[in-house]
Amino acid sequence: MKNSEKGKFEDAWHKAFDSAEQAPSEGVWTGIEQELGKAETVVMKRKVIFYQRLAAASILFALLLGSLSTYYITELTGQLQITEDTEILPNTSVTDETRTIPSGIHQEATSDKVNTNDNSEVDIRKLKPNKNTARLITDMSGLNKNKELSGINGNQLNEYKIINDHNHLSLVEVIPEPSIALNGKLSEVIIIRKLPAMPAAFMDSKKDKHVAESLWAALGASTGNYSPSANFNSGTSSRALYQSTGGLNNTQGAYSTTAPKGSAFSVGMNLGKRLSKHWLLQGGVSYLNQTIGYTSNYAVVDVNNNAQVSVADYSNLKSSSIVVALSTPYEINSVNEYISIPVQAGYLLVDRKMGLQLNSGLSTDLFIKNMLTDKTGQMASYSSKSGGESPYRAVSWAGLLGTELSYKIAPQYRVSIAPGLRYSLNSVLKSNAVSSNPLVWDVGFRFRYIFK
Amino acid sequence: MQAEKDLVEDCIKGKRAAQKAMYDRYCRKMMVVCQRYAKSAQEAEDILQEGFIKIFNNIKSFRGDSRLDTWMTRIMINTALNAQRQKLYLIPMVDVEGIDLHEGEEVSLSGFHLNELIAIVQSLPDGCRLVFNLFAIEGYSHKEIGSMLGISEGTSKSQYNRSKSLLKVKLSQQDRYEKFGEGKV
Repeated sequence: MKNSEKGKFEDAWHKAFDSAEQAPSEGVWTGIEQELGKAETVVMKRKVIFYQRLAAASILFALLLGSLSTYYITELTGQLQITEDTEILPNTSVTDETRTIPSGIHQEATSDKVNTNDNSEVDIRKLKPNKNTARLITDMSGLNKNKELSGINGNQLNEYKIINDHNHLSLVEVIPEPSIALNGKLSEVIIIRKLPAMPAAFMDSKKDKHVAESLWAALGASTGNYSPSANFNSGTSSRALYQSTGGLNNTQGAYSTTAPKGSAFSVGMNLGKRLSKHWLLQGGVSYLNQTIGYTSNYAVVDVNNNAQVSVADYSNLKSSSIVVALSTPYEINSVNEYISIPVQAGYLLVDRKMGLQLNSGLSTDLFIKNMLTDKTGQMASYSSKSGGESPYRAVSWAGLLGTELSYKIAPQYRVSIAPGLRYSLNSVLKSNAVSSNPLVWDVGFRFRYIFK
Repeated sequence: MQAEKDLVEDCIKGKRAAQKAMYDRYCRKMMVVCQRYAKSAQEAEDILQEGFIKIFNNIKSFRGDSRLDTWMTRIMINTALNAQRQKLYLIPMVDVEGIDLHEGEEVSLSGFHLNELIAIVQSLPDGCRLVFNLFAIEGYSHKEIGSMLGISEGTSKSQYNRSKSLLKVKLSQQDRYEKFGEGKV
């Protein structure tokens, strides 16, 4: 600003408007609130889409992980068909494998002939007399990696040792008959057989793989985000209190809005039964608690002239004795409580000490009550149970989707972390003017007891 | 009353009660700003509504470098300019040479009611009204105004001279207009 350009004329106008104030009409704030509500709805929808994509991605990841795990498990199982006591012919097992020769042996490992310390040749194919045997020993610990061959000389080969080569490990012991004639002395031959690398958890004994965990009981708790996902049908507004015949009186200018998201938690127990190698069924009962904030500018006054908190969800109350009193905007805590009876099918992707499963199913949710509480404590709380004039349906259904990553901490105990989604398939509100299909994204912790 | 800093923080969190409190605190002051730029009270309320939505959506960007009401006023002005920008193409930006600006003339508007002053400003042609507000009341230079409105500095000056001349005529039509030393006109 160039002060030189300004004169007394400008100063007079500046002073005239400097601290001037004029009230706009009340409709301006209503319009602002409507636009903000629309924006929040858009943001919420974007968040829901994000979480849906995240859930889909996590399931795809779990499927990929499971597929890879299954592949490696199958691969390992195939390799482990040759067990400690399996006898094999040395040339049939050796010729298919890469062989290396330790110090003291000069021949190329891929050859069927190796040199001994005294420069004589040993033809491995000659180790195929009828009574010659080779014993394959898998030894993932590598404890015997450097085991020396004993009793070997030009005329006697007692054993082969097969050791770890990076990710592959096994041991073949060949016990030839003493009558095998060799031209020289063989001090050591090491043959490497490749086996796939496996996580330690997968190397557990297979003995208890299918005999245990056919029936279990679990205690669990979960916590996460909760969105009411309210949709207002045409002709109504999230801000306005709905007008309806027989509804609340004196509703001009009354409104309430919900926060975009709240919190939820649940505790419960369930029983699980394995149906097949990969499929299982789980069911149980749990307590759900969903909390969200409201802002409202009105209260309902009962017959005793007590002001109680209220929100638009209750606009269709038919009680003619209730009147509405406008107030300054205040914040309300709304808590919905349900008893949930979930039934889920599960698919085991990994079934080892560490387990991974996908769960999907339905839940029948029985509404217990809704409690509205004024955060400032100035107005009385309002509680509504199911049935009668309650705006909430007594029964609703929700779809469940999630994964469960578990770890067996003892033969009969398993703990798990279970991220999941819960989406109400029908509106939890009775009103035709507004529908609410709550979406819960939570992470649960479960403690499982496995029956013998 | 909630402290301004707390109010801003609660608005950033999206608390509707805080937004309402902020609106209640500043809407009257901002309404006058909008009235000055608009052609009518209805248009001013539209600007006010759009401006407050921008304020709440961008409250995170308020860093406290300036006063909150100054920051809000800037948003209101920008909103008003956006609303008026298309109209500017229709404004005849003619030079008004020869107008006696009476530099240094001392005037008093104390005899006028706010609504009368708003009505006088609103009666100005669109371009003149914008330039007058930006120069005389907000304190921008003609160079800055030219940059803001996409016009030349000379056009801004000519528009201002035009608005000043028109305002004096309109004020002189009111018997409460005083020029110091001359009494009421």
